[in-house]
Amino acid sequence: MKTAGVFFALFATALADTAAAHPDHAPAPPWQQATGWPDRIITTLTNDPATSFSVTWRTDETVGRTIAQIAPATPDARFDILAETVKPKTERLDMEVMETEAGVRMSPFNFGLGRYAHFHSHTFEGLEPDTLYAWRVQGERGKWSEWFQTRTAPREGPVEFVYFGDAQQGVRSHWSRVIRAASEAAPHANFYLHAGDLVMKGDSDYNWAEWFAAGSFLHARTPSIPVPGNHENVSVHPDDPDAALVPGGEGKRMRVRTPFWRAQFTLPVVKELPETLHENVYDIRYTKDLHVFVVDSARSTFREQADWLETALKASDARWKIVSMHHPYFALQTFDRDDKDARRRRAFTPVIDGNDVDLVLTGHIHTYVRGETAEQRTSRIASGEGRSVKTVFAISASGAKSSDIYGALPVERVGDDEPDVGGVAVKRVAGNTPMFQVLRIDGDTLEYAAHMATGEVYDRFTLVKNEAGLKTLTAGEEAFGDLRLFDNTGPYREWLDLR
Amino acid sequence: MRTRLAIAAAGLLVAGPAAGHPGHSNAEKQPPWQASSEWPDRLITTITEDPATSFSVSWRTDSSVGEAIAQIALATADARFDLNVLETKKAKTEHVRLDMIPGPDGPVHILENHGLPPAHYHSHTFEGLEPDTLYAWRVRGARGRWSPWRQLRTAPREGPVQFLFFGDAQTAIRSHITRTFDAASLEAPRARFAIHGGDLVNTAMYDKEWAEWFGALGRTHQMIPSVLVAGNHDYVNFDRDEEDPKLFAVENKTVAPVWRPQFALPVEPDVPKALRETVYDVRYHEGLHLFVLDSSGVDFDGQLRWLEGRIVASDARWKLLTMHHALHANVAGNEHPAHLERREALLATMERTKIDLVVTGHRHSYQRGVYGSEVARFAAGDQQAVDTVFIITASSTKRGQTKPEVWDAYTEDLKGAVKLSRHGDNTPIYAVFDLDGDTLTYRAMDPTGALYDGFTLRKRDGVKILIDDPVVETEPRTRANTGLYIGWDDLR
Repeated sequence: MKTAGVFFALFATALADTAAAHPDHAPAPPWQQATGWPDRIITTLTNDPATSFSVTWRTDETVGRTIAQIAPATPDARFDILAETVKPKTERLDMEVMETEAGVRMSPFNFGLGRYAHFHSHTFEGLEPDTLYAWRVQGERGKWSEWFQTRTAPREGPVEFVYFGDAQQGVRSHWSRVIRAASEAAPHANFYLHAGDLVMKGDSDYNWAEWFAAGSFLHARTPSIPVPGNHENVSVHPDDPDAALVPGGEGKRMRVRTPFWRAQFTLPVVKELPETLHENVYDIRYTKDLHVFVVDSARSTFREQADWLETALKASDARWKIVSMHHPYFALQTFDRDDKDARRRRAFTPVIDGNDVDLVLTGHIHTYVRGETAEQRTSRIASGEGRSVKTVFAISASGAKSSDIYGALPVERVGDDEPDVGGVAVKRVAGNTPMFQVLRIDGDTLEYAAHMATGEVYDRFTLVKNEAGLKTLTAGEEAFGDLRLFDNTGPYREWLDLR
Repeated sequence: MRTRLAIAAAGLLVAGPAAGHPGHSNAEKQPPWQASSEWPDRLITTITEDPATSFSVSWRTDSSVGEAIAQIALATADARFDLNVLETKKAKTEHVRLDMIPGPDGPVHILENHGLPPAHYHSHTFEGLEPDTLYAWRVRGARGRWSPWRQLRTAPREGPVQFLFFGDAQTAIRSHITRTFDAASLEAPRARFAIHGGDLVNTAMYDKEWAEWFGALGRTHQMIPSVLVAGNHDYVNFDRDEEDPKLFAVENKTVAPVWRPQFALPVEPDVPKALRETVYDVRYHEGLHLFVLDSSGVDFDGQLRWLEGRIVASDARWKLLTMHHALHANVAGNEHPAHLERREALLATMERTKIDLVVTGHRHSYQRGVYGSEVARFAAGDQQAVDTVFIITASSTKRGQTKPEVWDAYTEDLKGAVKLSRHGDNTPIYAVFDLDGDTLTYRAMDPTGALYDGFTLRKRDGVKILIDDPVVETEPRTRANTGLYIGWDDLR
């Protein structure tokens, strides 16, 4: 008998939300349980997305070494005849007794699933830019995935991507419709950027099962840039590994990244950063024009990250520089809740301000906010008129959890040019409205549209950058529509009933 | 004398009671994406007779689920759109045995499904909806086991409409056809519905093949309704032909017993019971009328009489006929004699009704042609007056080879009234139709997203003028000038 099973029995009553994750303590649903077949298949970006991409998938622990295949996606019926076979890496994940950088974490959510899962990954390299490839992955011998088709990045030219704020709640039931709506609005998106809090409990296999089920084939065909959030952290009690089993357990508690993160996402490693930040903090030069920087705002190593970010931003000659981090607090003092928020803001604000960052894409507060900094204040501007801006930032959420924290900002001041104390003027907010954003970069122009789950556009602007690097923002008509707030939209309820 | 159950020799069927059958159960061999459970799976939305105000949904569970539920809400932008549910309804449930099917001489055992437990197929039609409106729906298996919410837009009463056509999926569906369905969802993400022109699978008794088909297709097509056409491979044939044992007999066959439980399709009262849910018409909106025939089914002459009556009575500007078998498109010279008779009858119907489009599958190659008075005299790029455009295509890995010279013979037979405009081999191709008032734009796409064929058809005062897309002037894809082709037997 497994020790873990005993723990489960002992603490079954205390672990109310474990029970919630498994209604009636029933066996794991078929869309969660690992088998000899590949599942949770996801494509991620590398340092050189024009010539390579990575894929990661899961099987049960019976699958040791396996293989993957890639072929040019020709129109031929049997395009697969020319496939090349590769040998992926395999990594074992202990889902019950998780090994983290700060010690062992008992993960009661996963008890009874089978202790280990195997995550396999491979980076396909030496590919041609802007070329469609077909690839598939194997679990046990003969148990193959479908052939998926993925296009490598172009060296230059237009790029379109989708940015999602927190999925986190009601992921399978509700977020499914958001990511599918995004796939309709931007079918040819080059990549999806997930700005943290992909799930609620970073060490819950059930939560990740929901996230992978919701995105399903979309995770496989369109590469992702996952950004870590605070819900991708887990608590570790270095002095007492079992403390996680006791609600409100005593002792020193450390928040570290869930081991699921590195197991299931194959991401670039920035060697100059401490090892704990590898695959969590990274940059991707997607094309000649676009450079994306990912910061891990849920870790307290702000100083190292800010230094790296500053160096990386200064070294980049990309026309468009976009930073994504989970927490939005770097610039908006209104949202500071504690000293850590203030420290984060103090660490990153000068880096963002001083290095020609065009956009900062964030999440965390389960609401929609779009604001900007500017060298000079400009008066209230109508649809169709441009104004000079420095950095635009967005906070968004795509899941079923919605908060009215925008209430901390007086709504009547939205659209006003009086900046918040942090230096940001807020131009558009929404509550009770899951969104996804489609961004398109083409030469000197960046187009941004925030869509609701129905596909309709709620907010829109265009940024044009001149030779001198000065940006003019012109908001679209949708940016001036009525605000969607809790008091003028449909009923809202917390997400606890959602499975 | 008929060769009853000749196909048993191929290991497909065994007559007699299932009890006492030796051999191992295939239940444990089922991949996780095949086995039924308490959770809803094999979800599909299907078209109804009034797509502006209703759509149907079908799903499957294991047989422990006696009562399943379907739910619908307006798809608002609210985080909890699901708090305002419009309707929660108990589904219609059918118990389906997979290990044996009823045959003419009693139950017939399906070896491939041996040991598979029976399944419950559930369906519900959401009715009383608003036209051109986005709804969210979900379905439940056992208590608490819900599908994710999916969004679907009802048909508009009028205006532009985009839709898809897929030919035979049939072989290596999960492995290879998935990319064709995915490519279509990239090319036409807002298509309103999709027609599947028959031979959805290779052996319609095999549960695993349906698992492959639903896995490949259900991912995107839960968001748009399907129009399903039965093909010969969606049929179960019990007899061989008396004269030619290579052929199946016309009698003693049935659409796969799982067809009706797993697809909720319009029930046409004016056709024989054997053709229910395989012969039907859908007035999609003010400008478009769809007619579905069952070219593998009984009484084709009766079907044509029904079709002609419906076409004549319809005031829709555009009329599209779909069925599985192609009128022409001789691929290997193995035309079934019955099809030749059918061709004559159908040509006569077309001559009288001037139906705009006939879209079919079956031949595993791409062939598009035109009918009409002296169409053969037109060259590509000309404005051509045509009566009917016909399209033959397939998504499958099984590929036939076009014989353009046979088309010359057809042209000669029909005194220049038929012409092949574009053909292609070794290439899965699907079609995107864009209808807007008097103009229909057609694109045939390959799975990499490249255009292979296209035309614009404009209809004014009953006269149809077709203009080919310049892509028709490019070299046709043939076995000789494309990548290596081998059969699909190695694909699972």
